[in-house]
Amino acid sequence: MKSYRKELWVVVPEMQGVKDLTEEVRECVEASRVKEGLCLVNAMNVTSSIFINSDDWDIHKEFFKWLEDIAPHDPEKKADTKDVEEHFADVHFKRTVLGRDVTIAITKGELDLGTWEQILYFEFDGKRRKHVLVKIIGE
Amino acid sequence: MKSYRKELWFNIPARRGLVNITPDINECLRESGIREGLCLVNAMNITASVFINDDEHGLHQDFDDWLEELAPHEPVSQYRHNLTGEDNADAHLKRTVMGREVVVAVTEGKLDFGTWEQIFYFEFDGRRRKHVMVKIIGD
Repeated sequence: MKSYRKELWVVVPEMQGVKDLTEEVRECVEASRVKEGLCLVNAMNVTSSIFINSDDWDIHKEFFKWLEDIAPHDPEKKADTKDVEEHFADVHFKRTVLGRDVTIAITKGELDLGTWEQILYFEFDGKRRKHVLVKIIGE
Repeated sequence: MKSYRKELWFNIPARRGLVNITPDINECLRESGIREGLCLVNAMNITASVFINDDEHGLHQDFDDWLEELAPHEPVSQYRHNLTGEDNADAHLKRTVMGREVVVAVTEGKLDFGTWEQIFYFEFDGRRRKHVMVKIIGD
């Protein structure tokens, strides 16, 4: 069994934003030389999401609006972490709705995605370097 | 390729409750002897969640309050599912928001986490024995 690991670093210049990681993950699959297996892509933090949808900024704007409806930003609600940084609770809720990770099949050396499926990184607490893990296993 | 399977059992003494199960998963990984692979942790039922976030008690309370706003337990009669005599429709909805499972990369024999990532079991329909699956594959 082969395994491959890479950290992708992302900086979103605003507090909220989206980056399409599909091409970078494709490059990881190629570098892994795995032909049949699974590819895990996950946020390595607790305030951003990896999920699959279409890479259309109009839809992304709708996601942010909808998430603000169901988990509104409340400056009174701070989640203290053990670190010196404080994160507002709503960023944890928003990321929970969209999810932490995706697992994608690798078939014949390629990501086995449907036509409109793209791997998206959604940032809810940006303006700093944050990382995403790609882990691939297979033959 | 090695594979490892274990069921973890919980009995949360209230309707809802949250447990940090990261030490249990670390123990499973140690028992498996797997150095490179993927670790799946999922609820083996449809009214509890396994998810990853920060281990901070205030945030856990915030999650519970927020889920109660999105899918309140009462009035029980507001849900069609509860017309069957059940009272846990909200638990099905809450668990869908929080998620069924996590998949974590295994690298050099350890869970490949960012700094604040911890694994939690979140019960939404407790006061009985319920189980979580741990499945690890790799070399």
